[in-house]
Amino acid sequence: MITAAALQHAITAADWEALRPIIWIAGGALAVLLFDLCLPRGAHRISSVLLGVTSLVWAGGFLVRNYHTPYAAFGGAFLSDGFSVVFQGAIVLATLLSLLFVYTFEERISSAGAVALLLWAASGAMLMTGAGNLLILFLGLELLSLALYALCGMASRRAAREAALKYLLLSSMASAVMLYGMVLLFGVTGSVNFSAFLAPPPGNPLYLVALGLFYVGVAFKLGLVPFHIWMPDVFEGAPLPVTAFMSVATKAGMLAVLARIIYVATPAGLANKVLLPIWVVAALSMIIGNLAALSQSNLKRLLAYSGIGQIGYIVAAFAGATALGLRYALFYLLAYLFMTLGAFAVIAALSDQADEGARLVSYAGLAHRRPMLAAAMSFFLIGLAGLPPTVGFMGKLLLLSSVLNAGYISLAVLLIVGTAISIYAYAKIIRVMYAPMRHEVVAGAMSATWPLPWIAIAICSVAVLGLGLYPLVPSAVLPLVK
Amino acid sequence: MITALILGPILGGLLLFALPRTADAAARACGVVLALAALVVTLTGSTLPDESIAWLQRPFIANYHVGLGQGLGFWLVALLNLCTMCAIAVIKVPRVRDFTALMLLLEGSMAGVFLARDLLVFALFWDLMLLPVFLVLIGWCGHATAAWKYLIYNVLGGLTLLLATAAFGIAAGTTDVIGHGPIPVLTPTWAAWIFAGFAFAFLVKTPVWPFHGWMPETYVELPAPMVALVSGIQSKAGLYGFLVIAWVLFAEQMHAMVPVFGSLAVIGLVYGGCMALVQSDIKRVVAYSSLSHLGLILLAIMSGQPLALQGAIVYMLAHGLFNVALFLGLGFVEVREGTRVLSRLGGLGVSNPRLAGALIFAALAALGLPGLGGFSGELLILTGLYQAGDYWQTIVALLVIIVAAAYMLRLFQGTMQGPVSDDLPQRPDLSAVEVLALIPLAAMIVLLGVNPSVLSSGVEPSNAVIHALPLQKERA
Amino acid sequence: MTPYVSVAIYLGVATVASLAFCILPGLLAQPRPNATKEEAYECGVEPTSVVGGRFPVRFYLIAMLFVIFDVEAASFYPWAVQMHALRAFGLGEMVTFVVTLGIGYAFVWKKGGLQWR
Repeated sequence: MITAAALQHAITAADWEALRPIIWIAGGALAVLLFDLCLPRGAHRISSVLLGVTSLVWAGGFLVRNYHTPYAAFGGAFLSDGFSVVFQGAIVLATLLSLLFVYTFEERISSAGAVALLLWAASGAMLMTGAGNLLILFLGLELLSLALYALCGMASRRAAREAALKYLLLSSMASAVMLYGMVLLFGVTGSVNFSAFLAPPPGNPLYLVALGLFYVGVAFKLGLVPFHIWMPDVFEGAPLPVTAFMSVATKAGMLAVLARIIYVATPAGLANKVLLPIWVVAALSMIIGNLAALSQSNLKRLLAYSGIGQIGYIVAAFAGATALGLRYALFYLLAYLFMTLGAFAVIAALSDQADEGARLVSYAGLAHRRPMLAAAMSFFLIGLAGLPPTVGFMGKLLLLSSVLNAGYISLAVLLIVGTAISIYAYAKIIRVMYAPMRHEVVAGAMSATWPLPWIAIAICSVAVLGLGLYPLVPSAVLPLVK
Repeated sequence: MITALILGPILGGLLLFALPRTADAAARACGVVLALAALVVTLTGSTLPDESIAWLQRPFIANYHVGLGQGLGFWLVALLNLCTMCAIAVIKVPRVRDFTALMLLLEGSMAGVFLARDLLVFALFWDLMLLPVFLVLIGWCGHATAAWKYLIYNVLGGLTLLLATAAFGIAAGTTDVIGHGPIPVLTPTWAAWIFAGFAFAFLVKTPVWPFHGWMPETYVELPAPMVALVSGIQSKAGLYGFLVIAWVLFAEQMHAMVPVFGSLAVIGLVYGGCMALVQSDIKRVVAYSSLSHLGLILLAIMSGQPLALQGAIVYMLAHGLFNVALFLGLGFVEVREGTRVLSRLGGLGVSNPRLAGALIFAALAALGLPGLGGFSGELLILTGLYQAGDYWQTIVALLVIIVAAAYMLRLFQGTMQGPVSDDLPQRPDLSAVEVLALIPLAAMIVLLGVNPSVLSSGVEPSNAVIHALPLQKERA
Repeated sequence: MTPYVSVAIYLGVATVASLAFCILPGLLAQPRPNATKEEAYECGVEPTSVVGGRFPVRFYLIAMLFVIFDVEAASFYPWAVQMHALRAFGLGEMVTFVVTLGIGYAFVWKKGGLQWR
């Protein structure tokens, strides 16, 4: 029994160091709210974005330092290892880029509230990446989800309300299922620590049930087939910055949890048996996600489906639980981040407050009207398709190598099949933009007023090209065992 | 310097977008100058050392390793730069600037394929080749089906190549193996599957029957300068792959598959010839004739007989030259008359004697007139096949060469001779630039025809690729 | 299994009791309805309209805000009990908590969330 006093003595400065990036971001959200109260009306939007960006950059600085000093904070409740730091970095980057699209919110939406909620969602996701036990995991998950429920509905269109309600109902259902799994895991092993799951009592069928329920929750939050039905609707309905955030940051948080479970909390003897469903689900996602992307006429929907496939590739890299696979999964996560958010940045650059530039028809002849945007979009889509000279190509190659190396040849073949299918989905958009115009289509709006999306486009383009030619794979990423 | 052969055209092509949108002549001039510069670098660069930069350490060693050498790669790159220069000079499409940029992009990526000494670099440029062609297909062509067919086939091929490359790297530990160094020993199962992946990619890209589904429509839809490059040089990428990758790294598997690929080649040879005979579209005629010729080259490659291999290399270059000339010539016809239908065309030779001359020259080279490049290649191949004991293949190939004469003459007669079609516009003859663009091609065709050994000085002994070939086919 | 026996007994008692409360009145009671008994409440003001109608969303907003800031008080209780043991650390935690909530409260106030328009 840990007394309060004992707990108090255990906490040192190093524990707070590990949490500092998260604290800065959550505190930044509070500052955003405060500034919003004090500043005059006109300055709300820019001050919120600037404050948010500042706190994220500041947190990023602490992350760089934490990367070199792995530490199990709060008695192993929060693990600040290279693994979680890279995931946290991805979340910070994704949030940062999403913040640049905030001006696409409607005028009447409080941008300070939106930015604060995005920051809190980010801190929730970051908490999940370092969670060393089920309690912290659930705390992070709920912090993330609650913020997102509100964020999804922050637009006056019907689709946004539909998205918010759908996400609330289905996601809390999934949370409940996952929670049930966690409770059973606790019941079986007598501990909430991930490390305790390495030695489940032999022959207890409840262990499998518990893991099954837990995985269902994870797969739902990751949007893996067959738990993906909510994703396209929610992605389409939610405001653009929220969709961008969800497509990467939410996934990164949950991927970290899945990876930690696979790498440090799965008993070696049972790994082949209990992880098989994960590989099957990953394979299904690669194929079905990309197949469904073929027939979409809304870019946000299309990116939702393609995201299902892309996350499937990343999960496939965990196959065999090799160190190589984890590193390449993280590398591909970064690749996916820059490619997807780059595509969202182009959509944001084409949006105005009346209309998000996500309908495929409004891209007809874009190459003739806005050649730079069309080129940027094509570049990111080529990357998502895994063609050179982008990070998508290099990432695919590394993923393939690690999957082959682990001996999962059928997964590698399915990865190729999924990629082949996805290329048509992306090529379709490129064709719409570049096909010769029969008559001048003058779609409304389509003029960016803020330079912010261009910053995002520039960052993403450089990263997609640079990482593609010189793959900077994070090396010290194996999770701490506590 | 060798890197400049790849990056020069690619970066130059991208820089073209800095020109104003309507600067057609300037874009064309820049393109010609860039290609000419690349040609000069190639011709003077045969002694340049390889360039290698470490790229990946894990999961396998891969280097950015490119080399020109003096072998097949050298000649193909020279051919590529020459043909690109000639093709860019005669671009006549809307939005010349963008089109030229894509031509240069294609040139650079193809140069990358032929210069790569590392399988990963090879795969990268192999997949990169896809983009410019696809962009031209969607941006300049009416029918979307051609673009989709092209994409479906070539994406499958390209991704299979990528998978095979990754598998090779994992199995062998390094991909820096093209044309140099010891040949990694793989376990038979791995080797078989990896070889299958490479072979599939090569068969699709060449294309070889029955993987040619994308070819006719792509050739018909692409504007002439682009299709000249695709049919003349990109088709050699697959054959090049068979020679320098399949024969060298997977000799055992190749031996096992020779009957299969040889049969495919013979079927393609006959099928292409017969189809070319009955096409009503002038570009389709050349598309199918190309399928037939490529079948012949593949047959020679599969025989593994030294003389046939020499012939294959001569014919690869000759085919590149006369196919570019043919497609450029047909492009002139198409641009002038606005139609490609053989039955509507006719009598152009009366008003356009220079065009007629160019076309008959290219057609004669294609049908194997002695003294021109096609003949020497065919002669070497047939002699080699005969010496290797492939008697019935030799006979079939001979018969198809007769068919070639028939369809080439039919093509020429249908467009240039016969009654003048009154409903078609009368346009002026070839301009000076257009004639100038064809002269280097014609000169090279004649040179290959009268003195094919000009290649062998470079190709034969010093070429690591041919050197490493297991030249004697084992006969049971 | 022993620790779960008490849980099982508790579950059993709860089930039996709740079932009994539902079923027994129907069996034992003598129904003697009159107008007053039929009302929604047997005391207080008589309802003026149908109870199942629609409410303005403001009710929910106010109710939710009330719950948020009211439940906050519940968190003080355990801390108050253990205040001496937790010392400065506990005080710090609680101050952070209150300040965070305070900022939220100020935000809601300034944005007009508490106004009944």
